[in-house]
Amino acid sequence: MNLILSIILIAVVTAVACAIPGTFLVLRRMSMVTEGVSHSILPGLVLAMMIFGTQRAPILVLGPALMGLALVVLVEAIHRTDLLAGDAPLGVIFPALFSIGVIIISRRYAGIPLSENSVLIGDINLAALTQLRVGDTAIGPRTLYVMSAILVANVLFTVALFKELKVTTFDPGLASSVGIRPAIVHYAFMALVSITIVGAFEAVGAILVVGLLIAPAATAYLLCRTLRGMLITSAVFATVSALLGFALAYVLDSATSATMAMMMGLFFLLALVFAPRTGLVARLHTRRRRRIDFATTLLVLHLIHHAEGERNAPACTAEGVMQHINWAPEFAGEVIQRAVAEGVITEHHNVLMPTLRGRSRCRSVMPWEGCEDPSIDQPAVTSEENQ
Amino acid sequence: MSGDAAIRIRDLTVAYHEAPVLWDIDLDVPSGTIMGIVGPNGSGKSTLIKSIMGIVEPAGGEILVFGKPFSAQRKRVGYVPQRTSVDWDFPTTVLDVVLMGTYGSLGWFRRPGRDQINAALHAIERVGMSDYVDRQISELSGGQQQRTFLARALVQQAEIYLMDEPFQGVDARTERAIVEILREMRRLGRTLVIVHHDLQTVSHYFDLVTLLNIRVIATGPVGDVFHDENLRKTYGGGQEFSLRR
Ligand SMILES: Nc1ncnc2c1ncn2[C@@H]1O[C@H](COP(=O)(O)OP(=O)(O)O)[C@@H](O)[C@H]1O
Ligand SMILES: [Mg+2]
Repeated sequence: MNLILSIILIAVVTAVACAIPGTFLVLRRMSMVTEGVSHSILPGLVLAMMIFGTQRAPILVLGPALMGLALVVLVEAIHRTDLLAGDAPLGVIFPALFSIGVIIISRRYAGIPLSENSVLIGDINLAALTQLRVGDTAIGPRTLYVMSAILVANVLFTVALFKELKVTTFDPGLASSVGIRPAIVHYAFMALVSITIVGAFEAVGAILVVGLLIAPAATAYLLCRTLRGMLITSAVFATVSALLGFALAYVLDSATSATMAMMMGLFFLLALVFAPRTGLVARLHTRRRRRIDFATTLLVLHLIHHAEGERNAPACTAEGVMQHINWAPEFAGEVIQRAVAEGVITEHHNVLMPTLRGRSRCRSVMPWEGCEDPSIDQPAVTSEENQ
Repeated sequence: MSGDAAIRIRDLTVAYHEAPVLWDIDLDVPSGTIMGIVGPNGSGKSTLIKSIMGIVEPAGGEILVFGKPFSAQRKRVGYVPQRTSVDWDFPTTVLDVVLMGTYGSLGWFRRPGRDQINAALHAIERVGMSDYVDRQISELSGGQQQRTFLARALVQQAEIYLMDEPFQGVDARTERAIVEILREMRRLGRTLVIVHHDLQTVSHYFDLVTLLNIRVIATGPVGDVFHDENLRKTYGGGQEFSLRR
């Protein structure tokens, strides 16, 4: 197989295989645990290599994956004892475990074919070159086969247990009360996450695999309203990031895995700023709108208080409003325009008057402020209504 | 107030850590009644509900649902969680949440089909949320959120419903609508256990009330046990209670 094609396929398959479980990791707020698993994989992998040699692929995936799962169990047990609060146990365990792996690798005579470098960011080119052999014929990169199998497993698992994953993530209480035990789903899922991390290790390393798992899902989280949509969207972001990352790495002659992870980070940043509902821009816009909404109500209230008995009073002109409420001219102009457009005040020969609609708006927002129109009977709102 | 006990609790004790959160609870909920559970914050109301649902593992005691352990009666019990315990940013819609009420009858692996969707839409209509079927749950008002979870409970087709502060963050109109639905459920013979925080409405809403503060201070018909002295015992003596009843 063509080397470039191999690299592209490995990049895309790995990214998508990570993005799918990543969706549930994000929703379960488990990025820290993910990081822990990815760190504890290294000593597991090194030990497995020392014991079983470097050629027997299935054991090299399952051994470290068990190690990752053991870490999940351990961390949760420590959490339950309350000996260490919050994230501290993770912060203590990860570096220690990771260091053990690095120490073994760095002692040359151990004969582990890993470099301190590649365990951090992987080596996708090397992964593309390492062929799987049947007899004497090379049938393609081994990592591609491993990651494709993992991708298929992840998709099958997610499809088969979609409702179980959803309900145990969203409402573990309901899940356990209807007999879908969250613990079973949780450990099956974490086992798959561990296997995914080990499979991706060769190509992208222990640090970047966390980015591959979390970033596309976190991006999709900001954009999506359904779980299905979030899964598909994160897979799409993963694919696009892998392709763009590869292209950029090719041009810059940089590490493919790092460039991929950077693209994923970039997309996340873009979503963070521009997401339609949750993005920074949308939030600022909403906040500004709320401010004007509130100012409009305030304006009506001001007019109500000054309109009775003293029509045409100076307080009821645009200038008077600016002086009394102390608004900047542009802001006052905008608020008045908005209030007229919404029909809560009228402007007549430069005099502002509250309308009935304005009064009822004030009443619903600030019932204690006495916005009744004297000519209208207001229904009494009492607790008796509840009976 | 006769009838069999829908829920029967004996000597229930629950502790998350060393200190008990519930201590030696004895409680009977007769079938076909509405029981309110009141008590100050942290008095163990949510924990009591979770213990009945088997979500929290008791340190001791016995809980029977229609005479059997909960695990044998899952399908007969429905649940509305406390608002504050829900992840409102979760990517899920009103219909999706209500469909979760059918998961218990589906069991593992099977997916909701046309029947389940119809049942969910019917429940959504019953709580007046038909216009919001595809809304993401964070885009709903507090009252709409609570109606959604009520619809999910209705879909569970249970006989006993446990609801944790269903009126929290709800406007007056929604509160009336929910109470109406609860009363209809009782007419149909359902048993309702409702954690409640507004003492003013207790006597309007409930047949029975349990005053809880780690222990059961009092339990029984509202007219018999819901008085100032018991309230003082439950909430502490320092506070003044003027029950305008
Ligand atoms: N998961 C938990 N882990 C540890 N402590 C808890 C947990 N849930 C509740 N608690 C504690 O148990 C007590 C009772 O809580 P809860 O049942 O939620 O009370 P209520 O619903 O009456 O406000 C509180 O002191 C609370 O801090
Ligand atoms: Mg509570």
